[in-house]
Amino acid sequence: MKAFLWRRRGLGLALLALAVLPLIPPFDAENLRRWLVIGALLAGWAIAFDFTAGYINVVNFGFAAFAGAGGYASALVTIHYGLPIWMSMFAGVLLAGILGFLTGVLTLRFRGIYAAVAAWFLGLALLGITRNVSPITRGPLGLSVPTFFTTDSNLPYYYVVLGMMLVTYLVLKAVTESRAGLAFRAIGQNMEAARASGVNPTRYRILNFTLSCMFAGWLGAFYAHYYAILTPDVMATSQTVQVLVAAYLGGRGSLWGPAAAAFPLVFSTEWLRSNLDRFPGLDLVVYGLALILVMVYYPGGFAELVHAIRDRGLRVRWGRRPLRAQPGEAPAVLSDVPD
Amino acid sequence: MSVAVQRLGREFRSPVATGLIVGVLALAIFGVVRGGTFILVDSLVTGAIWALVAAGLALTFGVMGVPNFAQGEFFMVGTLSGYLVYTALSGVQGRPYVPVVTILMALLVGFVLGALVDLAVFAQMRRRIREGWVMNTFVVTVGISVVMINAHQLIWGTDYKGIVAYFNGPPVHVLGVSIALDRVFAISVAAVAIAGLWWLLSYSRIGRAIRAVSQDEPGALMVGINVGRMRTLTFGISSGLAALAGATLLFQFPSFPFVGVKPLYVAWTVVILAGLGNVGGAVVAGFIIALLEANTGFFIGSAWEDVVPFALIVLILAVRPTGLFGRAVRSVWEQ
Repeated sequence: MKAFLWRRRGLGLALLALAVLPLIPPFDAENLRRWLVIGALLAGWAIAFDFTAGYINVVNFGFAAFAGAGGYASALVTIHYGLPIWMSMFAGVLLAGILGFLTGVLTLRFRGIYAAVAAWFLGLALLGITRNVSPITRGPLGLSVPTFFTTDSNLPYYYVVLGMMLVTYLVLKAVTESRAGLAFRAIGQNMEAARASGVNPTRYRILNFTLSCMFAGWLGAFYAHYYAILTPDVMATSQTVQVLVAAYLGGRGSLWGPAAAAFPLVFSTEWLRSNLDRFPGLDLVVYGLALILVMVYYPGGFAELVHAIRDRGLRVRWGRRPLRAQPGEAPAVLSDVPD
Repeated sequence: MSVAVQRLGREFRSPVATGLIVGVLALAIFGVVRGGTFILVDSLVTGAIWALVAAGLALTFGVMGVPNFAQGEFFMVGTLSGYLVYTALSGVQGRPYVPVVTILMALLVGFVLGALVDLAVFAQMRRRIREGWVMNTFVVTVGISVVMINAHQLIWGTDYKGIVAYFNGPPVHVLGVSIALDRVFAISVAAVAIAGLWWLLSYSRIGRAIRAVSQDEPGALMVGINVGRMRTLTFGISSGLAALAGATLLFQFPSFPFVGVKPLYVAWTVVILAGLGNVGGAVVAGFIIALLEANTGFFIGSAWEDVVPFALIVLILAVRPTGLFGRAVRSVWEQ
């Protein structure tokens, strides 16, 4: 137990910091607490996204649509059946899980970019359906949703979403550290080799998609009951892009990296939005530029930076080594061993 | 391209392709009988333009392996530069050469901007990234798209910047349908551009070099082709085509930050249907998608125009994972 806790000390410290953050001065203002809620929500989504993108190497480009579907399911169940919210959220989990399962089945034969685009199209189709069945979803007018709490304070919401993020992280981390996690990585790196070693790609890909979408839907349900209004825009591609930016800036295949990147990302963009409102769009320009710069110069993201500092101290090598071996250097093949 | 035509011929002998041809013809006949000839004419006009945008997308993927998510934003650049040039030339409006100058300027702006993006981003990535090229560049183009959309918003604002029409003459009557002069102009521009692209890729020296890079990169290097320059050129051409399409359709798509979203979706549906990297197939598939959209819009309702094609494409993909005219060699694309 002690060893377990020691291994998790980073997580514990981070959680402690996040838990007390909304109570200490600069952050105890209501608008900063709201940013914290958004940050934790994005962090949870980024973790679920990374579970697919970083492990089985399939970018689920329809991610927001699954999350939004979860939100709609939870909202509709509370509205029509009067169930308490914490129970109706599981309707969201269920619907998103089923959709994720079906997407997993349908995109099984695709790889790489084809799978990403197929998931994207399914997401767009879901968005279109949600927009068009206005008798149920009220379409672009927006569905008004009962909230968790009657209070105006963001504090209780923050602890709820922080807990949800923690559960998401712990469950998905446990899965990736089990045999299934090994299988995910094997499939992500080389599907043929994985199949040849006896890994069943079908089963693991579907499992991965289903799990990731379940958590996306759960957090989507939180979104619905936090904002109290749900429009089809929550399912739009631009929402997926936000999650994707957090996941890639944070570093693929680490789960904690995306979560760590989500908070500063939300804070910087919200700050830009509220302080430089003379320049609408500037926050997203910065967003996009950050994504481009990281992807070009340091594709490992924040997680790789932390790992590099831990392993080599501050002598960080920026960018990957060029393809050609430099004169006087070991041949490229020998230095190719992944670190 | 002639190779693509040959491959198309070969593909059309397979049962799937036969089914497709029958399906498309049935859809066309159904549309004409139940709706009217305008469905056919409509699909021809929009199909030609979608073919133009999608051909660029297919080209970038085939030659550079970049699945360009920002293709719609180059369409947006085309609408914007078309608008700016056209309003700047307002003194001489009404002259027939003004629209031509406008779209050529848009082509130029798109080409230069695309080449600059390639030099600033993809050339840098090629020197650094070894594995996961396709997915990494995809994510980078997502970033480029976000930057371009919001740069437009930052500088020119979110209001619609459009024109009423390039030409004000009476509409032309074809097959009992009256077509506005602007649409005639659009379809002619698309035809000329596609023919030009076909000529460029099939017969010119540059086109041969571009095809060489797409087929065998080390081989192209060995015979002395400047591979980097060919890629810059390819990205420029592809962006230029999208910008040309944008400027040509300015009367229908007034410029605003998100104007590229719809062309992007359509271009991707087309390219996925045709098989990634297949330029000739993209032209054919452009018309198929336009026909599908026109039929959906007329019979089910225009709100479903976005739903039905996407759902159908995913189903088609489930049967043929590499698209209708997909390439046999897939390993590179599937990283």
